[in-house]
Amino acid sequence: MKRQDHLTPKARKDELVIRELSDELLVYDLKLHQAHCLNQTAAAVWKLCDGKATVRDITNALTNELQMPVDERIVALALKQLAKFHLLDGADKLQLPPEILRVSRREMMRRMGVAAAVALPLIISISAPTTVQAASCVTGSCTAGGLPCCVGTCQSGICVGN
Amino acid sequence: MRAAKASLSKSNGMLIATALGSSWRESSAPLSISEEDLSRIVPLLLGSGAGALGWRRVRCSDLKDTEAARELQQAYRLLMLQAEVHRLEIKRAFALLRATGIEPVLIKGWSVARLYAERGLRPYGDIDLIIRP
Repeated sequence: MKRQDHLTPKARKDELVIRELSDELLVYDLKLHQAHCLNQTAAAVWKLCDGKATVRDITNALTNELQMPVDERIVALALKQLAKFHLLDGADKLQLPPEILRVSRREMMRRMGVAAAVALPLIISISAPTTVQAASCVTGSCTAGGLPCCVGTCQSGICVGN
Repeated sequence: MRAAKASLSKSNGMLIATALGSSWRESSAPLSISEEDLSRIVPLLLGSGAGALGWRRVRCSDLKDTEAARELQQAYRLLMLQAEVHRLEIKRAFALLRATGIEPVLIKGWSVARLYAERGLRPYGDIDLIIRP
């Protein structure tokens, strides 16, 4: 793969809420109202994107961190996904080189084998069915005999007044 | 009597009780129910906000790679993030109130949620603060 020495990606930090779990990193995008889950490799690459490190630097750092040889294409695949999920600064304008855009997870899995595929970066969107949450009051719609309105009173199924 | 007991052991209520038993503790035993039973109660767990608790029991069991378990895992992730969003909102609210000399006390949802093994296991929709009149 052609060296990407000119590319120094920077992780986006603004308007993101991050929660680190033991084996994955969760990110909530306050701007786009989307939640994402990064596996360990994707999270490691993201943390290494300081705006100064090149793809080569990130690959070397990742090799040290994971204590296994890491191919630049793994970093490229992570960057491609990070850009797609708007987790890099200026992701909209970020011009990823064709070499990076060509890397696909499927191709990497074929090259590395299924067993090693766990090391491949993966970002998935989180969505879940609406859950009932405990609350002391409601806003907007309300039901007679249900929770009281946070502001105003319940009239014809809607909280009105102040 | 035996037939009635067998039927009871398969009721949704009993399955949910089995699935959630000790799920809020630091360590809980892996869940051992059938995949079919889990699929049956997952919508109920998700709908009642207990999906994350369900995932804590399922994640150490043979059921962890099933479709039903994945739904619980997604709920768990979402609630973990939601708890972090709430934490930041609370921090901001406290900073604003303290800047004007008001010392709030945080009650209900958050204060109950912190008793669980992980923040986010007990979802809450609002932040209840009390202040001196």
